[in-house]
Amino acid sequence: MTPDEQAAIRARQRSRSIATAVVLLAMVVLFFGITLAKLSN
Amino acid sequence: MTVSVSAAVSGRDLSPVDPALMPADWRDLLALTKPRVLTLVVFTGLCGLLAAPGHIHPMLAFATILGITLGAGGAGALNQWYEADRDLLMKRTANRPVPAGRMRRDTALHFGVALCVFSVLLTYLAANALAAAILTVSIGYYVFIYTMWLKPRTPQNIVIGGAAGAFPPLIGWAAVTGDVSALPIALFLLTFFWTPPHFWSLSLFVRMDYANAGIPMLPVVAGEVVTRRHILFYTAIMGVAAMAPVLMGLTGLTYGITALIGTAIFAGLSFQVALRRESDPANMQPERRLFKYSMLYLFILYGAVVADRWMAAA
Repeated sequence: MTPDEQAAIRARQRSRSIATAVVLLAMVVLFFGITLAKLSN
Repeated sequence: MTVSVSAAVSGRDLSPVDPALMPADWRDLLALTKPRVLTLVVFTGLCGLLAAPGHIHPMLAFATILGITLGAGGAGALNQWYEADRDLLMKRTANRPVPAGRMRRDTALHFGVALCVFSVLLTYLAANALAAAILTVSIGYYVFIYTMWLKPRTPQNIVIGGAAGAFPPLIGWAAVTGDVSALPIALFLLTFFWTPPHFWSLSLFVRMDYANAGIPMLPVVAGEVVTRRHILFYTAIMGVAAMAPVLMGLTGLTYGITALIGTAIFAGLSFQVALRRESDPANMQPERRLFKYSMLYLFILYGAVVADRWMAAA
């Protein structure tokens, strides 16, 4: 594998990691919100 | 370097690194969900939820619509996983992530299954078991009945498969009320009978794509004249379905007048398409017009249902 290919893979992994972190954070907020809504009901 | 499934499918490698080694880009994962199709699914699901009598907490309503969206997105991803070979043969779909070689085929499968499972659990948590069950049926219907069974086998694929896209208003309604009554069933039928004229008008001007991919769409199998007649026939049935809510007293005049005018325009455009004998896609402006108007039509009618119900409740 060439250095350029390695760099491309690293960049893609970084971008995916950020996207995964955002999704996980959104899920935490979502389930917290659902719990509060259920409790208020 | 190993040869990936998708590279083997496409026969070419468009990315600088083999996709077997390259993690999928999040934009390609998003493209798997068919975001443009999701617009209609989200809107009809939301209208079903807003038109239903009763109250739902805004957070639970949001989570339910998110569940419908993710379920439809997951079903779209599974459709692209299954149809990668055929998608490669059609100009309209050849640049999708899997056939274009930007993503491994099994990545699409895993992503689709994960989205579907999560969407059903989320809908169950936010709404109720009935809404989650209808969502499960709609995903299964789209993936197994439409994509795997009907689409490659029969020119009636669109007619029967249209049910898959008609479930969202039922889910939205069930999330609020916990049951399914006459109005959401009428909305289901409206979308069900709207689907054939909508897709057949599209298939008239992209029929070579379907022919190249070996998909037995009606214009490919039965010819354009028959397709044009079918468009008119199903427009008539759709018109009855569109007027049913007001005739049955489920909605008032706001919806009734909107549906009457909207359906009259739809019928006019369908009649124009049915009378034509044009076979060159470049000259199919009336067919394109019908296709575009059909989308607007559904948005307007669903919007009118909500407006009508809210005005009646006020």
